Amino acid sequence: MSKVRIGLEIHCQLTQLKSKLFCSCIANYRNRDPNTNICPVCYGLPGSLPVLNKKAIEYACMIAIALGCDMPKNLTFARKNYFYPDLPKNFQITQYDSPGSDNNTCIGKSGKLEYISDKTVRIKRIQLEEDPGRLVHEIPASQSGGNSLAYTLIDYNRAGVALVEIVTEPDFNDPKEVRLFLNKITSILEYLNVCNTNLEGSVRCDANVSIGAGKKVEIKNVGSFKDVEKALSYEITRQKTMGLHEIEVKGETRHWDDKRKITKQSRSKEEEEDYRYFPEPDIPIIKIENEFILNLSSKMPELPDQRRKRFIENYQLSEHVSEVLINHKEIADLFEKAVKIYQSPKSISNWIVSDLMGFIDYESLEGKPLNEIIKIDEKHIAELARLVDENKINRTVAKKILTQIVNSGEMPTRIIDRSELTKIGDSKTILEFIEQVFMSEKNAINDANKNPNVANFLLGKVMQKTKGNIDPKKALEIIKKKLEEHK
Amino acid sequence: MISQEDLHHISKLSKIHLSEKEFEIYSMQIEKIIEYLDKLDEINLNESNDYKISITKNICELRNDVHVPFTGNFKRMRKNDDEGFVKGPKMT
Amino acid sequence: MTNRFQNYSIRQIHNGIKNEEFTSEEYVSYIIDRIEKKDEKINAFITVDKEKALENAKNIDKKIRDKEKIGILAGVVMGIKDNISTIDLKTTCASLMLSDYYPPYDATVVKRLKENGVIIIGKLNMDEFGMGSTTEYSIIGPTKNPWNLDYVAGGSSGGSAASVASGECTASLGSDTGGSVRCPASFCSVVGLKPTYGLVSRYGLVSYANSLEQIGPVGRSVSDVSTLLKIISGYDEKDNTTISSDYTEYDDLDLKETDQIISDLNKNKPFKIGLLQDLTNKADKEVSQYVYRSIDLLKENHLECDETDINSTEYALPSYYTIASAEASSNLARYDNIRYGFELNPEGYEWNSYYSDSRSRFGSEVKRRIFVGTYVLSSGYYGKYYMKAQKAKSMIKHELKTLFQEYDILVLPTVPILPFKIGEKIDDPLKMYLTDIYTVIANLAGIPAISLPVGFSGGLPVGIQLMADEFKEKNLLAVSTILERMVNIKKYADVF
Ligand SMILES: [Zn+2]
Repeated sequence: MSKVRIGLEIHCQLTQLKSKLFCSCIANYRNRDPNTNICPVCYGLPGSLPVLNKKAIEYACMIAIALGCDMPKNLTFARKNYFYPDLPKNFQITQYDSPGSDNNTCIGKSGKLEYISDKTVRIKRIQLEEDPGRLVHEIPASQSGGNSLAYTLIDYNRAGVALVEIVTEPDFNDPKEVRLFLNKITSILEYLNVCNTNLEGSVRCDANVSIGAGKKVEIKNVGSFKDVEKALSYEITRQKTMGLHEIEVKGETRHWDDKRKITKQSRSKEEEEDYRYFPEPDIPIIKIENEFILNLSSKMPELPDQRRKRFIENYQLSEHVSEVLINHKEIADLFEKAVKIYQSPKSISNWIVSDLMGFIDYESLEGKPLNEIIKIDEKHIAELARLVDENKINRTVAKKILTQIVNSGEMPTRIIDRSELTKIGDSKTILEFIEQVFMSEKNAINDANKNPNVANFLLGKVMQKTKGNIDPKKALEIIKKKLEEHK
Repeated sequence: MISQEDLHHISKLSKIHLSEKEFEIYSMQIEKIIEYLDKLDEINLNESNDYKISITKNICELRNDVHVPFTGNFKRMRKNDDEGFVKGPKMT
Repeated sequence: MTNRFQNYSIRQIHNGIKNEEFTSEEYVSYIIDRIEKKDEKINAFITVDKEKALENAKNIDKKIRDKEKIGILAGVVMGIKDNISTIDLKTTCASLMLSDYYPPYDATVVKRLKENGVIIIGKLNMDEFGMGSTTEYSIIGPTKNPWNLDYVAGGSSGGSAASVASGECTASLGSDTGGSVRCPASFCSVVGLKPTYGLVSRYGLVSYANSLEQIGPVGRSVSDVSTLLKIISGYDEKDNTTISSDYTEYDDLDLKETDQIISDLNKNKPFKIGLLQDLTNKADKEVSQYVYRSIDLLKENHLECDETDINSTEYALPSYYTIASAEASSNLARYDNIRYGFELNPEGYEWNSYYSDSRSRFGSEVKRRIFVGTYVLSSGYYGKYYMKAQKAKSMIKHELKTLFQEYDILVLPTVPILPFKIGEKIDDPLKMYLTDIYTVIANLAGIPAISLPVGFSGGLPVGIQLMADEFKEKNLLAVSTILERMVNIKKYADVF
């Protein structure tokens, strides 16, 4: 069977910036009235000039460092010329090294990333560019009432937002590898705190696929990472089928049809291939000095791989648990903060990995921080873990409490104090349960004089019988009193 | 030499439509201009008799990442407004 | 009929208003009257903003009465080339594409002028988007030469030069991409300066060829031009290509004695002037004789002069037109009429046809340059044209840098020919391009250059061009001041 080769182009917005790439409009263009986050520069007014954002270069360089890229000595920008209504200037300011030139003037070149053990992908190029505006929707002729009326609504709030493009070599052989890689990239971006990957449209991906000696097909317009795998599988099947029927695969660009879940041929336009790149005359050459890179490297936040290693070594966690924890930075942060409060990494990680994670749907986060979706923080987790470890409550009750915390944000002890769960009646009902246990555990009671642990043993039995639904403190008191009476 | 195809291509690329008559005039004029520019062909790109011509800046000279709202008024210049959206031609 | 205001310099106006010899309103009224009488013939203005100008003048007068501080240019009345953005004042670039465009912001230079009290009287005619050498390619028709209405005013800042020469404003701003300030200054017998690339902010200047152009002042004296340069120059955070620099001494040159200026120039080492002999000799005799006479005058003033040449100039014009057209083709892509422009409802249009429908309304010269620029950048030709043009540019800069190690100033004609008749070259683009052959050198090298009026030939003005090394505007203006005093030429056209 011929080898499948997949390469990716990932676009990620530097959402953590305050301003756009070339002007001082707000980088966070979301949830605003149309065309209210614009200025002469990003709206492409005559006479406006791009003014480069220093922080954008820093962030982009951090990505390049994290992906092991060679850094340029001189950074330059270029114009990519093509007409499209979402492009205010009808060219995009991006970066470009003319083919054949071994001069690196992009943010990064020739990097690599081990995305799971023993699987490495080569990073071809990392570049910094501006995002276009958005074509919101088309008003079809039928809706507008007229015979020929039809138009598009355009919102330029997004135009000019800083975008980092990561281009890989065609080193993937399988769509599953692609998904794992994308997870890894997402996690790295989160750790670098340059991109909130949960925001809709903050990370986009184009792919190219070829089989054997066949031509390369580009797939664009894939809305979400989830669909990348689907689009690739569809495209591979399509190309393989063509191969079986001895039909030649054309080198072309195809669009992912989100509704029908297929790739469709784009109308090929000759203009698309002739972008007439040339150096952007309004932006000077930016000197990247060694000192800048060294300084940036020394200030780099811990990356997922480093953190996983540290978790295994410092907390004696398993490879698997560490992996799950570090995958999302917020989760790993929650774990470490909880461990500071209650020094039991094992039980805390256990609570997070096997219980808490079940409450988080990353698809529906939509960029909001975790604590807005679930009202839980390190204090809750630490206390819950301790209560269970100290046998104050059993796991079943704790799980119920967890559900409540997620919704209300109340502390576990408060829930216990207030809750019906622990208030199986008054002392009288508790006494009834305890008496039942005393009846069946006579041997233990006789040992009580010699063995001080019997009280706790009996409490365990009572808790078992009541499925944990009583106040253990109160029960223990009664048990101790009753044992005294027995003497 | 600039061929008919070349001119069709650049007219398409630059999104400027040419009538048949214009096409004739422009192809003649542009042909002459390009011929004049061909003088550049004599230049040897490998000779090192040149001088740095671009402005160079350090990162520290660039703009700080702060939001400054634009206070001017776009209303007077805006065309094709549709409740805040810009109305553009249909794309399909 | 003469008016006491007619040849007033910036200093005279400022002092006169400050010392309450006359009011700002009186001066503005005189200018408005002058425009109303003259501009029908000259056609220097695209837009005149009388009301605002009068309002501003009254404000200045009130400040004087109230003994408040006024700007150092208060009361000076200026016209601005119509490709420099002025807030809420129509900025058309003499193009149909922007015929209804009101910028929501001021260009940095305009902002600085206003802050110093300048009154902006209106927007000046030009070749569409700055593409031309005669100001014939304009939606409002050509600007006429104030010295002979049958002749072109030069371009593309024809309105900037003609308005100053005919007394329709005190001074003006133009823009110079390949000679667009110097050529009309030469044709209209006024002073026009193209500053060092990066000295003056381009923010608000509608781009034609970004890597070559600078905004430059036009005035009736070297002193006026240097005063304006001081105000408009300097670092601007809105233009990443501006350079922080401090050149503040030149504005007082006109107060110094000639001998003092010369001895200042010779202070550190003998000051040396080089005549670009080959280029001068290739110019028309009417022009070259004035260049030689100017050199003689400088020699009389004990400035060392000898002859030299530049070899790489044969590539200058093709290099210029390649780079300028390439950049223009990209800069002018934004005019698709969707975000701003003229009335053309996109409803029902397929996007490609909407684009080509709107964009077909560019004028013929603009279309030519867009086509040439698109061609030289398109795949397969980039290395043949654009890269070689850049190489030529750097070769020229290299050669000039070497020359400036020996010479402080280089002298050559501004334009190798006299002003010509309107319509004479309009059908032959290449012939038109040759008008720029001596001016593009300074744009390619990024160095400052000035055009000074030095004489008349058959009633038509002749200009001389001086060039200096990067950021040596001070030397350029010093020598210009000396020459200006020696030739003492008329800069105020009151022929019609
Ligand atoms: Zn903006």
